[in-house]
Amino acid sequence: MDRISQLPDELLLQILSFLPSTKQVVATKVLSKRWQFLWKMVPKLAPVIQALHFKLSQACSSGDIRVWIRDADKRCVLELIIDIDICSFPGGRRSTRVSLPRSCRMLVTLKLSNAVLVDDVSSSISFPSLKKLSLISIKFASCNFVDKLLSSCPVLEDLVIHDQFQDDFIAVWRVKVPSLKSLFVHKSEYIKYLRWFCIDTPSLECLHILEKAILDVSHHNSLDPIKSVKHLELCSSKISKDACPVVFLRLEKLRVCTCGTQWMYLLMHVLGASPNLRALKLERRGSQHATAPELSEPSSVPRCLLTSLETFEWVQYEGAKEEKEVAAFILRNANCLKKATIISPQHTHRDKKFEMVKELASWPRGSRTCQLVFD
Amino acid sequence: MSKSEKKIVLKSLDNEAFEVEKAVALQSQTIWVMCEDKCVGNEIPLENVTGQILAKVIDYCKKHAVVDGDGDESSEELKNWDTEFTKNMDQSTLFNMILAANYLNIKSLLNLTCQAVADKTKTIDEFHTFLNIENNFTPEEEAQICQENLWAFDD
Repeated sequence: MDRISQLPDELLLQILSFLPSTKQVVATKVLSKRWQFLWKMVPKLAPVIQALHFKLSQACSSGDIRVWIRDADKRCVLELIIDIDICSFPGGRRSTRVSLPRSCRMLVTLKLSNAVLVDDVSSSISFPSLKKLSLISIKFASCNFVDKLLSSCPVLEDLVIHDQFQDDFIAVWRVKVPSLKSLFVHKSEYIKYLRWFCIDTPSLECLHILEKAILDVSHHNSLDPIKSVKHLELCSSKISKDACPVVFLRLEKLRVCTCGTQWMYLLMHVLGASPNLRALKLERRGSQHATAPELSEPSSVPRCLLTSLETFEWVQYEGAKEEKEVAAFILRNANCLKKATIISPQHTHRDKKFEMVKELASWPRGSRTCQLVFD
Repeated sequence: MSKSEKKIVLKSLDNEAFEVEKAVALQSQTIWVMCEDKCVGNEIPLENVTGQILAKVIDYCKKHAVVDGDGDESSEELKNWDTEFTKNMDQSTLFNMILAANYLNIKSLLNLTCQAVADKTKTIDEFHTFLNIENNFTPEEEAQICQENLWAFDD
């Protein structure tokens, strides 16, 4: 009988603290559910550092940083944040060179901001426990280094790529991470270049592309690489036509930003490819408003409108011609819609609001039980 | 102090009585507190410890009470004695010794028995076999934990 597992935590911790090496202590997490998290509480493991946060000015020399990283490397660090403050420097150019720790084997979270990442070609990198990786305005020494970095994270679940500067940014991202569950990419409006994302992530559940980008969904072994996505957020991105027709079988929530000129095409494209969508939200994120070309209604109504869409929300609805067309199309065809929420911009005049609501209410609705909320 | 006052009777869960020197029994903080409180007479009932285990605990306390008073040449000998003491204990006895040491609050005995468990379980397999720990992960969960934890096994 497994009597030892019935002992109170403090006695088990005492036993664990007598094990000769940290490695052996950590290994006990595979024993059973009772033991899975005990090791973290062992007092002897004090050198396990929960979080290490470097907030540095650019005046720091790369040499100092190297010493600190090497030191962090030797300890067991779970969360490492290296944040280089470039606001203190006029022009805000990134020049602080950082090389990654080589053997942070317990590292779970790694966040880097405003650094130039140096690839030390001579040694390999490995992050066997890394689950969250944030790369904020990181300049890479080479494209290959990106591939090398991503392929050194076998259990990565969460990837954030956020860029603010134009110099040497990576134009093609190959995100081939089988374990990835969430991908968030964003670049500032100042970067005019288009990025290309080749996405091969069979476990992906949340995809947020908040920039003008081309998504290339590669196909391997006839498995749809992003078929498992449940939440999708897009901002005037384009799904590559070369890619095979994508079907988002499990997509439940979709958000589309209405700031680019192509947003209607994007919306119709994704609606057509998401047969089980339940919630749709349209929202303008960027400040500028581009006039979209007229909507040419699709030859057939997307299946999700007919059978699954339950909530529809539109934030910053201004009542422009093309907006009216899209709203009318959705209200007319969404047979199971329960609630439609339309929110006009704050500054909208009372009279105009009245007209908008009158018009919205007059349009035919596919669902008899649909509640219309306007603000 | 009369002779009877220097002795104390410990009564086990299964009603076995042990007469021991007070100095021996008082290594247990629990017994010490009971005696201080004067809420018990000369006979102290220990409801969590069986006679078989209590006999071993008393052996340990006797050894340590005697040697502690003796001076430093004995520390090496005491260490050897401790090692011998736990060397051949089976899982069940060790387990009960830990519980008894914890209940009776004998710090050094608790350390000794926990150390003995740690010594006998160097690898994960030894943990499973010696301590009978039941693996209640699903194969998928186990594979994932092992994956996250590869380095702990790559000796």
